[in-house]
Amino acid sequence: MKDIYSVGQINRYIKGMFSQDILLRNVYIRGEVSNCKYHSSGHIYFSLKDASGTLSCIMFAGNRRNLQFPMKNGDRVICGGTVDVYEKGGSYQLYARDIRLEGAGLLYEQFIALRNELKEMGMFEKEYKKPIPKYAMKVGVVTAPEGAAIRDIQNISHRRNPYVQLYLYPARVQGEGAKASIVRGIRVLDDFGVDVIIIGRGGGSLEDLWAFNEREVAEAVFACSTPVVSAVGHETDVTIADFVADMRAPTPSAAAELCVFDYEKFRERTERLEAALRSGTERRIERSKGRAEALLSSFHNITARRVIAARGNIRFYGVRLEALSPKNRINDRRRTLADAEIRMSEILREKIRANRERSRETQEKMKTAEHRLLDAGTRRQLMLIERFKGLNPLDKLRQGYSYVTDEEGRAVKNIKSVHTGSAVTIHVTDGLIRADVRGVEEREH
Amino acid sequence: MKKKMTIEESFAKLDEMVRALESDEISLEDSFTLYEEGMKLLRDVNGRIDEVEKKIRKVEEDGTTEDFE
Repeated sequence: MKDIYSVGQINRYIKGMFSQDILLRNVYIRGEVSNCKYHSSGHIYFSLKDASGTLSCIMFAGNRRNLQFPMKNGDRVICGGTVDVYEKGGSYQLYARDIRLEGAGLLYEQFIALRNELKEMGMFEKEYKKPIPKYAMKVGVVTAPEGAAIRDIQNISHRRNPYVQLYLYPARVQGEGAKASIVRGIRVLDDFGVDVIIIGRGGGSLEDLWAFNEREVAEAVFACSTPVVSAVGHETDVTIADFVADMRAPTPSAAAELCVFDYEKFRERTERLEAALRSGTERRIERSKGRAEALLSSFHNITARRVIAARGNIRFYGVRLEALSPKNRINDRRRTLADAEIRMSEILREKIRANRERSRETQEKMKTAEHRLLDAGTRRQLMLIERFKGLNPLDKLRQGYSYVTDEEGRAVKNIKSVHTGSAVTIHVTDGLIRADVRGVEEREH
Repeated sequence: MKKKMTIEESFAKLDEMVRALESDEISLEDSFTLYEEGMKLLRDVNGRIDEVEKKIRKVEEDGTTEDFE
C-alpha cells in the first residue's frame, strides 16, 4: 500500500503548489459580483462569476482603500490580487487587493499595459530623473486655469514665497484635446525657460484623470529638459505621468511645497551665513589683534632693552665726547694758564729769592762796610720785597695753605662744587695732588 | 567668473568660506578678501529674489506672457 497522507498534509501541499505559481500571485480577474457581504470586521466576502463558473473572493479590511466605489451584487468588476488556498476549508479563493468597476476596467488594463511597456523601455528609471531645483525662481504650471489645482498652488506659493514667479500654461486637463493641450503646455514652458514645471490637476474619476495616463503626455514629460513634478488628483491616484515625472507629488499643493522654496528659511540661512561671515572675520581680527599686541609688547621689550643698552653707549660716548668738547678744551687751556700762572709765580718767587739773596749780600756788604749807610735805593728795594712778600699768594701755600680745583679747573669754593667721587686737584707749593672726594659734609653753624 | 552659480551652489560656497574664515590657517588679508567676497555673494544671492510680490503670469502658445486673472 502506498503512503497515506492526512487532509492537512494534502492541503498544505496544494497551498505550496499555488504559492509557487507566479501568475496566481498577481492576477487580474474580470467577473460579476455576487454573494457580496460586508463583514463587521471590515473584510468583504464575495464571489466573482461569469458564464462558466464562480470564484470565492475576500478583500481584507487593510485593502479596502483600493475599493473606491460601493460594490454590490451584479457589478461588473476587475479584481487584482492573489489566488491562494484556504487550508481549513480545502478551497482556493482570490485575496483581492484592488477592485475596479469594469467600465474603468478597460482603462485600467490600458494603464497597466502602458505602464509595463514604458517601464520596459526604462522611462521610469532613476538615472533619468532630474533633480528638482531647491531654489527655483520661475515655476511653470500646466493645469486648467479655472481648476482647484492652480488655486492650491497659488496659495501655497504665496504663503511660502510670494517672490517666486509662477507661469501658468492654461491647459485642458480632461476631455477632448486634453492630452494634446498638456503636451503643448509642457513644450511651451520648457522652451519659455522655467526652473521647474508642475503638471497636474485636482481630484476626479479615473476618466477625468485619464489624460495623464496617455503615452503622448508620458513622452512629453520624458523629453522635457526642465524637471517635471507631477501632481495629479489625490494621494491615492497614480498615473503614468507620476512614474515618468522627475518627482511625483501626491497633490498639487504638495507640488507647490516641493517647488517653491520657503522664503523665511532662505532669509534665515542667508542671515546665519552673514553672521557667520562677520563673526569669522571678527574672530580673525581679534586673533590678529591679540597677536599684534603680543608682538608689540615683545617689540617694546626688545626696544626697551636696546634703549637701555643704547643709553649705556651714549653715556660712554658722551664721556668720550665730553673729553673732546670745546668746553673741555677751554678747561684744558685754563689749566694750562693756571699752570703758567703757577710757573710765573714760581719764577717770581725765584726772582724774589734771588733779590733776597742779593739783599742779604748787600746786608753782608753793609755789615762788612760797617759804617756805610744803607743807600736810599737799597732801602727802597727792601721795602718792595717786604710788600711783595705780603701779596704773593704762593706765600700762603708755603705757610701750609693749599687751593683745590675741580675736574674743570674751577676753584672749589664750597661743598656744592663737588660731590663724592669728584676728582679734584690740590695745589700745594711744590706741585699738584690729584685726589678723589670721599665725602662732603656741611659745616654745622 | 562663474556668474551662473545657483543659489544652492552659492550657499555651499558660502559655507566653505565660513569654514575657511574660522580656520587658523587663513591670513588676515585673505580673511578680509573672503569676507568681502562672501558678503558680495550673499548680496548676490539675496538679489536673486527681487522682492516684488508676483502675480501669476499666463504663458501663451508663442511664449508671450500676460497677467493671469
